Amino acid sequence: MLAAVLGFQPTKLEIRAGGVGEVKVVADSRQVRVIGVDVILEYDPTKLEIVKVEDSGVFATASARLVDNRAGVVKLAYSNSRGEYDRGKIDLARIGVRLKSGQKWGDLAIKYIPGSTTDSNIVTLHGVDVLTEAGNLTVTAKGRVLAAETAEEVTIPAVEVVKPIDSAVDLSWMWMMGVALVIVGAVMLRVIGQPNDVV
Amino acid sequence: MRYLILSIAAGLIFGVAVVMAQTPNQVTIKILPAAASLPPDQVLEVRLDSGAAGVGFARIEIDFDQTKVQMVDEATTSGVLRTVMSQTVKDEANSSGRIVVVLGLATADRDNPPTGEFEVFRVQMKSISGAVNDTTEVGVNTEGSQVVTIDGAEAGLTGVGATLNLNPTVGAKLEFAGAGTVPILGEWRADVNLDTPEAVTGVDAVVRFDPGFLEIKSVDQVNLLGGETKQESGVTPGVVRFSQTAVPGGGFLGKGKLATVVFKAKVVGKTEIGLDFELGSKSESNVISNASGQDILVQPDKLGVEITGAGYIILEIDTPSEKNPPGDSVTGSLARTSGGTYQFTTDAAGGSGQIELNPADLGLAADWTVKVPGFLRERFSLTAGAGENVVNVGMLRAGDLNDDGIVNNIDLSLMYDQWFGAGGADYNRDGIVNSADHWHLASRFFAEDE
Repeated sequence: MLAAVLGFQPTKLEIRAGGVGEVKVVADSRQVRVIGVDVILEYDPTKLEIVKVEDSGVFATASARLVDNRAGVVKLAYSNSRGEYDRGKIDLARIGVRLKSGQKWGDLAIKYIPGSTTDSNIVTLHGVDVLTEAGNLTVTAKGRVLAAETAEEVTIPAVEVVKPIDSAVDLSWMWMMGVALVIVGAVMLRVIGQPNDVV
Repeated sequence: MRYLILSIAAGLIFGVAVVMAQTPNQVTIKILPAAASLPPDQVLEVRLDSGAAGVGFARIEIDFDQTKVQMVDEATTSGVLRTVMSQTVKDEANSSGRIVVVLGLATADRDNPPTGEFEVFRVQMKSISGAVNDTTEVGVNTEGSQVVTIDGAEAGLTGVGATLNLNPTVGAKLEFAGAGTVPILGEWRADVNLDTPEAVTGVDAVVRFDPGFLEIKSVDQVNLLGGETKQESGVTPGVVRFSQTAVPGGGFLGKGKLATVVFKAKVVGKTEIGLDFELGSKSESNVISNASGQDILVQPDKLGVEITGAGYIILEIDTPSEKNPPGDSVTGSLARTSGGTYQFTTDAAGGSGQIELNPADLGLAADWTVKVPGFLRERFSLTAGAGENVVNVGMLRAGDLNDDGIVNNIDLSLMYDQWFGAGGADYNRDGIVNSADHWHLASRFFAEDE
């Protein structure tokens, strides 16, 4: 029986209201070879806020990442190259969650509808979704909950879309850095060498 | 005084009674059928219609032009008035042009005289006229006729004769056949058929139409006569001509299709097409007899058509295809939300051609969707009106290989199944599924149907 689960580690998070906690999004495919994983998280944006998504790098490609703190949706996709597979317990990502001020609790749910291919999927060969179970994260407030305070710092935009990550490394910044160094060097040489020019 | 009034009243009543008693019964003598063509020989029935009055005696005179028609046999009485007092023999009638038949009610029938309409006698006539399309009348001579009712009163007579068409020309027909309605901008096909009872060696058809309603697209001739075919259109607005001739020694006899004239319906409304025809003229439409060289075409009928306000959607679609052919040729479905669904196929340039819409889908501000297998569904808003509604759908978004409305790892897995092979995942249609196609899918991860 092909069966795989998606969930969080830990499954419960207790943090100070207004504070940030981290959880891992994990998959367990047992022995099934996995080509890719689609993760769709849903939450009440009045209670929770996703402040960080850090990919584990297990898969060859982070095919897509969308964080929409207005709609309360996170979409993550990780894919392997053709002929490459992962199996067993797989760390997918580390997520930073903020429990908004004044909130006692909030749920971060993995969207999963049995039989559906448009929700979260753990995908094996031939386009088969083997996901059979998904767990939720419950975030509860630690200590006394105060009334909502001023807007807090958000570490990622309210809506962030990350296109597929290309395996090629972007070297353009190195080229620009090199140009800048040459310019700076030339200026410094001129400044240092100036006295020698005085007769 | 009282007796005077009573006497006047009694006198009036008596007078009216006398007048009524003296009013003759009206009897109609008629010949049926009222019109007929000869040849072949035709039987004419001579009938009496006496209404409620019983008939005791009848003398009937029938006149005819003995130079045009003749009796074939002796007149045959029906036996309703069984006593035949006299009857003109055939030769005498054919010589004089008059048939006189005198009949009386048999004694045995006096208690049951004939009433209403009944046949008296019949004659079979033949044409001896040498003229084509000749006519003649066979009439009732009421002056020489007499009908007496059973009570001994002479009836008033009305005669109704018959008209005989002699040696009518059986001409050839050019007939149109086609649908009675056509949607605007649609094709309307009108067949031109020939029906000729004698061999013909040539046909000229001058089809006239209203160029305000119709535009000629083509004349597709069927070489019915087997020889040369000629045609001309666009020279005179609203006129298309075509001709066919038989090979030497040949000819055509019977029925068959000469051509299909294909029109494009331009505007909503009713119009008709017809053939230019003038009796006796050979400068318009003609059907030429093989035997005589004469134009034997008879007056052709027109064909009407109603152009309805149909509407069409024409889709313009781009795909990631880099090969031509097949180019942007795809098959998919067009649907109106809560409305009709239509299948379409585009050509290599991505054009769907006219997708004819149901009338129910016209005139509504509606959302429409375009779905092509392997691609995400696209949506557009349109109030489709009569005529052509051209919609540029743009570039289809590739990647939805399982057609579930979202691009994700399941589609990627399906693409891997086809890797280095051929299949629906070959979005650039270069014959192989590889990284170039992967780009189209991967760049739309989590994109969904519109």
